[in-house]
Amino acid sequence: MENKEDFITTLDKVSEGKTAILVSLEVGRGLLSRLLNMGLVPGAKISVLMNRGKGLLVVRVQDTEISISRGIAQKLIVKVDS
Amino acid sequence: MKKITVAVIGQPNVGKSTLFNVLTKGHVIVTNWPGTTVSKNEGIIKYGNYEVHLVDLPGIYGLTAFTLEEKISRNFIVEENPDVIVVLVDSLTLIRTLYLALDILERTKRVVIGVTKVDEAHSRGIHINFEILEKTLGVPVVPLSAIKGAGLEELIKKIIIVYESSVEGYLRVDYGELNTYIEASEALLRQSGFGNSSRWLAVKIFEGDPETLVTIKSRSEDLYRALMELREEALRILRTDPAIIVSRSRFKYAENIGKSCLIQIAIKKREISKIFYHPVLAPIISIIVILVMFIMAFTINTGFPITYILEFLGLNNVALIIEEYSISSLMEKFIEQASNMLESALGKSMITLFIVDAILGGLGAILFFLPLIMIVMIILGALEDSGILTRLAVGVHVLFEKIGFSGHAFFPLSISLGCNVPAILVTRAVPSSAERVRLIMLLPFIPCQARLVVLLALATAVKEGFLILALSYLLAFIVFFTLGYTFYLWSLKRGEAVEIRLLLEQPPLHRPIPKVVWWYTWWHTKHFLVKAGTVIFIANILFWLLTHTSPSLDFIDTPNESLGALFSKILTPILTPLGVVGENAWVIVLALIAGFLAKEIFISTLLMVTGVESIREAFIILGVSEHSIIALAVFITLYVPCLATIATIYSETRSYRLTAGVVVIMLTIAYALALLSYILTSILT
Repeated sequence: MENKEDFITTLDKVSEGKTAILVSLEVGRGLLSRLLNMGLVPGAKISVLMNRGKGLLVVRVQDTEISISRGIAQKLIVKVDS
Repeated sequence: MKKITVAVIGQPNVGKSTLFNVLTKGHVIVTNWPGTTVSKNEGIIKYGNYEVHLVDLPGIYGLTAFTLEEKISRNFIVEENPDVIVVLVDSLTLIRTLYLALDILERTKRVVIGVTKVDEAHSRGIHINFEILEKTLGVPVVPLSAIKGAGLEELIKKIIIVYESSVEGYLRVDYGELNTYIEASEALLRQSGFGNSSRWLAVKIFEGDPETLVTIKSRSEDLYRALMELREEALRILRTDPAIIVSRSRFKYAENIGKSCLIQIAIKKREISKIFYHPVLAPIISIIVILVMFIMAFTINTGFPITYILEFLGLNNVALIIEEYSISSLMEKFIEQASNMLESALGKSMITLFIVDAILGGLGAILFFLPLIMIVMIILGALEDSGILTRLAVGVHVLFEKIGFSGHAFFPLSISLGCNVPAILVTRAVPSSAERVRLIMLLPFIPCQARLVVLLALATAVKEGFLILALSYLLAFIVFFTLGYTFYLWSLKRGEAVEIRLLLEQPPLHRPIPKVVWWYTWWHTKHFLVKAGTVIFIANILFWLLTHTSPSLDFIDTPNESLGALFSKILTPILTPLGVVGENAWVIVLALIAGFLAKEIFISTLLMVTGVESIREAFIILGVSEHSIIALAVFITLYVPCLATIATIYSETRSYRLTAGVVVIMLTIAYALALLSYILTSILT
């Protein structure tokens, strides 16, 4: 059910400590395959462990810590429930 | 004896290489996958009446093949049809690593699942019910602990059971809304005679697997068109990339399996070590850690740079002792003794000279560098296994980003200080191909252990030896980063996609396990041995012949009249601007040619032709001034990748243009900077 407080944004906008659900990946083929296989599939729960508003993000997906550059994070569309 | 071919496959970090080494007890045959430089490890285990051939496939996340590693693994499983496939999944990240297992099970059930790191899982509060997992997947499941050696025999037994059984068929994953389309494609493929692999191929089509598309297109254009239509229809109606639906469903399937067989009791959530991500501290820490590590490695290897510091402090005796017991000096003594013994045993003759200088000399050169490279790799291995290396990479990312590199460049750069050959190979992990090419082109500028040894020898011939080393290393890094940044700006300007990307899995931090560090060390050293070793050995023999053959093709033992000398004399004027003049200047040219074959031969050539014991005396005989020696040091550091590195650059890029480009760029830069240092030092002193 759609929560009225849900909002759609990109992963780089999710603040530290928050959790988001991956909605879609706006990236090219090669990178898409790499991301999918690392567990970044639509529907996956992403916990943002670190986000300082610039530079790298650190996220946890399926119990794995992943460092991800902001450029890639900007291409990941996520849903955040506040 | 029945021979069983077994493919061993798993996602990266599941502990595959560790397990492979334990299983084969280290008896691994290393070759390359045909047409690539990806190393292929094979091991044979004899068990009862069976000979089990294990083939270690590159670690990949899924069978959809976009990268070279994925293609190799995929093609081995699809085309070689191994008797049994062992899929390793990680008990610490069971659901995620099951993904690959499901991908393979959708193709065949001639599989044994090995669940790794069960010992560690326990301490993390993870409990897996293996019976349920086995029942759900319909194939044998074996819990393993490579460190404790648990489950290994069981694994072999299960391999044999699957081999002897008549198991056929495959797993059907529920793809939800995509099911109808996959089933329709499956039916089409079945009609065209693809048999039991139809289901798997159908799924691969929706995943957009390039290899599958090519296979089908070459089999039948009509079939290909029909399948593409189905795929487009799915995309139109479901309005989602089918590849995403496949991935999502497969993960969901894995999650459901997890729900039935996995219990994780609440343990303290692991905090990330934020210090490694601090924008200011992290780069500083990363650089200090790596500097300390390399100072340690260099000191153990050669005494440098601690010896210089000790001398500076007036502790010349201590410095001398450290230098004497450094690995390079010990190896040198050992090799010298061995050749002396051989010389006296064989008596003096042309043949003896050939055996001692050409053959033993070549082997000696390889043997000499083996421990030097190993020490560097042991230290990097400890950093890697403990999970620190990927965090250091993240630490430098902030800095590197500003000059056109990502944190991924950190590993190849570090390894380069040991040997350029494995460094170029590890660039494969860099996600941006533009960055990878830049790295391959520029890594040869980073001085390896061979160049360190040459520079140390040159340092003994001048008053300010330390200056030579500092200048050469500094210049090498300045050139690396300046050119890297220039190339980066250049490709930005040409509008190529060059955004600096980083995507790095951070394994849990733990104390390094000695065994694992050793395997890491061996893996990287092997590349030096196999690739560089062969080239050095052959080059050494050829070079010996060149310097011991006269223009009339007779054997001579005076190099001055050899073919090599003749050739060098023609090229000598090139070195005139560097102050290398006089009737003996050609010797330097000859040594530089030798250094192109393998850098360290530069020194032995100088000694051989001049017939003296030390480099200092050699330069005096040749009449080379201190200023020229400094210029030469700069030139040798930068001038050209060694032959083994050139071979590796070509095999990694398959481009003659790029390979030749590297050589030209290096020669030009080296010459310009050598000239500059000659002019500057001449003016200043």
